[in-house]
Amino acid sequence: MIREGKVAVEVLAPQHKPIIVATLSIGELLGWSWLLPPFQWKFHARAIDGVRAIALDGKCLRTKCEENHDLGYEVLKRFARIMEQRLEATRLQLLDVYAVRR
Amino acid sequence: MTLTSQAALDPMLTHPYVVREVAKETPDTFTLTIEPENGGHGLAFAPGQFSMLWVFGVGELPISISGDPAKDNRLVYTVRSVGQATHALVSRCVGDSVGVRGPLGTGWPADGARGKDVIIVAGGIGLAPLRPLIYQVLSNRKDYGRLVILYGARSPRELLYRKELASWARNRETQVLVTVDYGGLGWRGHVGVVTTLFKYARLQPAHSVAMVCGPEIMMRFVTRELETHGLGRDDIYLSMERNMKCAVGFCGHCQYGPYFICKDGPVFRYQQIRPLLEKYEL
Repeated sequence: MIREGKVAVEVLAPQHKPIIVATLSIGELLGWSWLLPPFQWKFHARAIDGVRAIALDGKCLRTKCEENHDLGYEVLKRFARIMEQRLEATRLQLLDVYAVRR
Repeated sequence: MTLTSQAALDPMLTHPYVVREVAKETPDTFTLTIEPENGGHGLAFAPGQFSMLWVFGVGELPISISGDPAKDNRLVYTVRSVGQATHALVSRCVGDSVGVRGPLGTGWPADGARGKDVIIVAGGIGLAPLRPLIYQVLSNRKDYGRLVILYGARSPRELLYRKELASWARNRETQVLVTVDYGGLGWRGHVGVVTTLFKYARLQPAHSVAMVCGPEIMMRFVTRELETHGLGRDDIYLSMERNMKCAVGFCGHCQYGPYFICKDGPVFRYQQIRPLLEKYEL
């Protein structure tokens, strides 16, 4: 969780300059790869300026969620909300609404 | 008789203007400044109104006025070159003539917003019709509450009025948030669609009026976000766009449900057109 500063989420591809696809800032969550298999990062994240963040041990939290399903459901509900917002924003981004329509 | 009263009498009358300045805003967008050919005062307009600009020998096209309404001796238009007529318009040189009909259509409710916070949400070239309103709010600062400007563009190189955005942000009680859909490594600002800016905006929904202009899909998502933040449908205004021809409600080219965009709009209250925004056929 970002407490201070900005983080750029980037896509890297061979022979292409990195493209920033999202910027995250104070109060936002960076990364949920720890939550779902195969537990691997898919994007790169780069601090744009001085960043302070709280990092959680994903494996430990996952184990606690398995042991305590009330906690697990609450965590999933909160992450699902964020995922839904990011998915909607990504769909809008993909529409490329500012492009010239000919 | 002044040009203003002549235009009010006959909106079909084209007035001769001369191009005084052509400034490049982005690779395909230019700002034209024009003045009346015979000198003197130009056409007084309300923020949000548009003119029909005649490129002689090519055609006539509707363009929103993007200049300061307090400076009525000149008219300013920001035009994106997307077709033959717009390309011809932005290719005008200083000293060339253009014809102007208008100002036409409805404007932003600048008077109705007095005493309230003004939230401006713009996407792409949609910032151009909102710029006169921003000028009006900033030059009558005591009459309005906070000014919040949320602006989104495709990429950093496609941002309009970059210097002005920075200078507006330096005004008191003014928050300017800018985002792009895709950023390169050199971009240190926000990346994400314009709706992602709402979480950083300091809004007081009960005392606010929102004015929105941009691609229709963007406006649909923005109105939903504004409603989620507590703004009433009567306090949200949208500027709509359709192909126009006569610009005075005779020809029907710009019919939008029971309305003509040219005559009843382009600025509409969200409550008024909400059912039409999701109709595929319109």
